[in-house]
Amino acid sequence: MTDSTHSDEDAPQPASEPSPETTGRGWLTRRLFPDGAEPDPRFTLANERTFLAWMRTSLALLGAGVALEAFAADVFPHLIRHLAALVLVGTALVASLSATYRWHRVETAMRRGRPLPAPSLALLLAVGLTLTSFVLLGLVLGAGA
Amino acid sequence: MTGRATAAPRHDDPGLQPERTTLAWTRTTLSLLVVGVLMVRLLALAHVPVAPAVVGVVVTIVIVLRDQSLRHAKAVRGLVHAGMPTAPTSVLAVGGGTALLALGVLAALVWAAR
Repeated sequence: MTDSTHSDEDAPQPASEPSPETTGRGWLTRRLFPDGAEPDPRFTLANERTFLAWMRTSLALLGAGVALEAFAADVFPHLIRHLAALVLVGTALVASLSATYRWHRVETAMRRGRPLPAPSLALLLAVGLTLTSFVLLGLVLGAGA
Repeated sequence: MTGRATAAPRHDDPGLQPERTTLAWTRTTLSLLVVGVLMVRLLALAHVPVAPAVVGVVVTIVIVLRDQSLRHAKAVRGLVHAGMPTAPTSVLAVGGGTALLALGVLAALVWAAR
């Protein structure tokens, strides 16, 4: 405030503050989300965390399938073990692809102020996991008897 | 009147959204690493070449770490200025990397079942 003798050529720059709408909108972001307005940052971050939770679920399914195949050795009959591993890994594949798709749909819906799409995969995941659990539980109990 | 511009502006969001999101990215990247290591072990047991899996996991993790390195500060700034873009590079890397990993495991399972 007291520094009034300072006479550099650069004037105060109020315009240097970039507008939130244009900050960091890279090529990929503009390509994937061409229209709509930036939603509340908390919703954007929550959408990312939901995607990440689905990805960890997918990774857990993948890990379960791999562990079943690599470390179960001769506890289970081979055919059923292969089948269970295939179901687990297949579900992991579907979950990872649909989670990515859903992240895009949710973000687009929020940008346009539309209702969010329903989590259609949750039911499939619940049914598949329950069935696999029963089969494996039966096998473990059968092997222990 | 305003202080000097700091690297991390303050926000008054009680939900700690940037922190939770950063931790979620970290957890997921770690999960990817663990499952990737497990998978390489399976591939080695099945005598399938492991190089593509190792390269895929490492590339995915490097992309996410690079893309997310300044994300926490960006998220805080986004909360302060009410507007921030999402992170499509990281999302597509994790989604695509995990899908490829699952495809690789499926291929290895079919290979081993023959």
